[in-house]
Amino acid sequence: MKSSGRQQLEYYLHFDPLQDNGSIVRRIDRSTGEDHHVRINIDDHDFKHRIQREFPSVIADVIDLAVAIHASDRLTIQDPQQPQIQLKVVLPVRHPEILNKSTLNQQLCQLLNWATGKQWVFEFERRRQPGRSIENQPLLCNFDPYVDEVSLWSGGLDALAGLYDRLKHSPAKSFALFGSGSNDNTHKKQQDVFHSLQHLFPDRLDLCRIPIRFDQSSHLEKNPFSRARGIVFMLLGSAYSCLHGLRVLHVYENGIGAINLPYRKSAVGLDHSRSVHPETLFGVGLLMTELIGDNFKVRNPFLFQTKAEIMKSLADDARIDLASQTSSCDSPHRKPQQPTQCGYCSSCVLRKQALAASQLNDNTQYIVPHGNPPAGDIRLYLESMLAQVATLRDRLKASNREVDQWWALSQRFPELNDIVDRTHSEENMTLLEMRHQLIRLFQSYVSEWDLVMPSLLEQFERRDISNVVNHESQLSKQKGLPRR
Amino acid sequence: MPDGDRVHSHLGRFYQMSYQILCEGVASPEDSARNLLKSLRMDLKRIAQVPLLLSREVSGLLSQKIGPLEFSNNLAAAIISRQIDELIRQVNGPSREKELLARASKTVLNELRHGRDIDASNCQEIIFEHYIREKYEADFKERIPLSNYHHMGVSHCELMRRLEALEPYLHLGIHQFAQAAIKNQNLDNLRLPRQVRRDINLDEDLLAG
Repeated sequence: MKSSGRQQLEYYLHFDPLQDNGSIVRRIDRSTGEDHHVRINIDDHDFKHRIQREFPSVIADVIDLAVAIHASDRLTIQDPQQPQIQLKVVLPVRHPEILNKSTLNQQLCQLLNWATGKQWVFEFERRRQPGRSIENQPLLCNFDPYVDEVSLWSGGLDALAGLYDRLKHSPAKSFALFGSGSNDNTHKKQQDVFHSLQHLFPDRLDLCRIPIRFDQSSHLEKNPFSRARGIVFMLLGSAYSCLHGLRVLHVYENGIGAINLPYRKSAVGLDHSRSVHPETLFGVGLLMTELIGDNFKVRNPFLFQTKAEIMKSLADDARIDLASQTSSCDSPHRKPQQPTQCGYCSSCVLRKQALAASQLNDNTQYIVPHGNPPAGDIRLYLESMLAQVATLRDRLKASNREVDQWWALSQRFPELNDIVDRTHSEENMTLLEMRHQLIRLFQSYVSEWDLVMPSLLEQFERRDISNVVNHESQLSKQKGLPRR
Repeated sequence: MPDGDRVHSHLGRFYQMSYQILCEGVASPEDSARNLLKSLRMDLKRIAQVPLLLSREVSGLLSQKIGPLEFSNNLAAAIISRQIDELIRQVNGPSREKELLARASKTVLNELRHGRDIDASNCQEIIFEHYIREKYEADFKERIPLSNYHHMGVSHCELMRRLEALEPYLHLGIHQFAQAAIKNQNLDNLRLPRQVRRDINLDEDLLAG
């Protein structure tokens, strides 16, 4: 590999075999020689909900791989201004002959590099220890009836709206939901929304959660922007799908969030996550195909819909009660007597936009406008998103001809060409059909904003004491969300 | 958006003075552009070695294929785009700069795809010039906070108007930076454009206000 000559950080992450009581991870910083040990646990007993009598050993390897990726990404921090850090991950697995295959290994490293910006190297050793108890207990009888669709379950609004839409329009189908639920609040939220849905759609839903947690690891700084999260979640969801004998995992995410274009040019690369990006879904599908030796896909049926459009079924049935139970916030607050969701991060702003565009009365309590707003600039995300909307509007109105609109969009966002080139076959579309769908998506998004912008701005203006930012405060401002 | 976004709300240290000068509004567009070019030059010298190296590699890839048939074919363009990604992935360097170079390369590829005629012998310079423009926009133009009023009480509209006025001078400077960088294959001798001398009118009252 060529090098820029700058100091490159290298980490060596060695995992003990993942047992019922977790695994010890040894993290060595090659530049300082610092050697830390930390325990990581996975609670996989929910995987007893399956149709396969024997637990496939390759699926157990997929689970271990997901845990190793999660731990490695959380325990190392990439500064975008510095050379890429290199991670060498050593993991004992049941099938090193599969995982060490050069095509698979290369796919894995490329996918993780794309999603995290770090350089990954894997070495898979043969696992000598017996598997975890879930692997060693053959299924005595089928716990579950046949499941038609397995989908990821985050407890967010897209997951709910997507599932509600699927449940409503496919009345004969049953769904198994998969959530990681590693955070206690998220775990509860996922459960609450699930129970509400189960009540409305009895005998059609099942929920499986496999939390991954560090144990006594507070001495180690964690990566606050864990960009591998989506891949970890999808690998575990894919494992669950395979345990149900299926070869597709569904992810319900609106197209604007999935593609996640930069708001302004100052957002570069992984400033915006690629966790549910169409290329990530495609990459996980390819990886799973190599691992299990059978064609596997990860599909997002809502790629060409805005968040408001996914919510159409919910809106038609006026199910705001369900929507209010979900959480969208990127940075939840934990102050007593205050709402949890901030109301000003990009996810909260998009949630408000979608609910307003769906003409649903948003009952959610947010810090902005219902609580005490923080000292920082609460309009930061809103203004950035509006800048993107203005850019999209300008590009789309350049012409009425789609070919010109595509040219204008792709000159500003060249990544759109890659999405279409690389995933149109996966979407069973021609290049032109997929471009048409994406143009329509962005047009709808802009139109929705035109409709709701005044009411949304009002929420921010009420609390906006002064939008005059002096030079000194502007230049010394720290990046990220305002202080809590 | 999924897993949170990083939104940059402040200018980096190289560009703070340029912002201040622009807000004060005393300097001419040409002088403001020169000031900004000095900041950009410092930043490029600090961090653009890897993008310069990569621009050569990417141009090698593109210039082999330059010809009307290659890029009108979507499949060929898709393959080249993947090769660009792979090339950039293999080189270690600051992720942000690599991403900016990728953006610049894909923009040139898109132009080729839409029929733009590019001189193969000039391809590296075109890519590197695109990179510098991307860098200017990412680190300055589109990083200026989106507040209604700025330093010295200047409105955002007025600030954008001043920026627009200086851009012809700035783009000339960026073009010259790219030419010099490619000619020397290093960033040591990036010169500012020659300043237009203004004749002094001897009848002008310099103290008049």
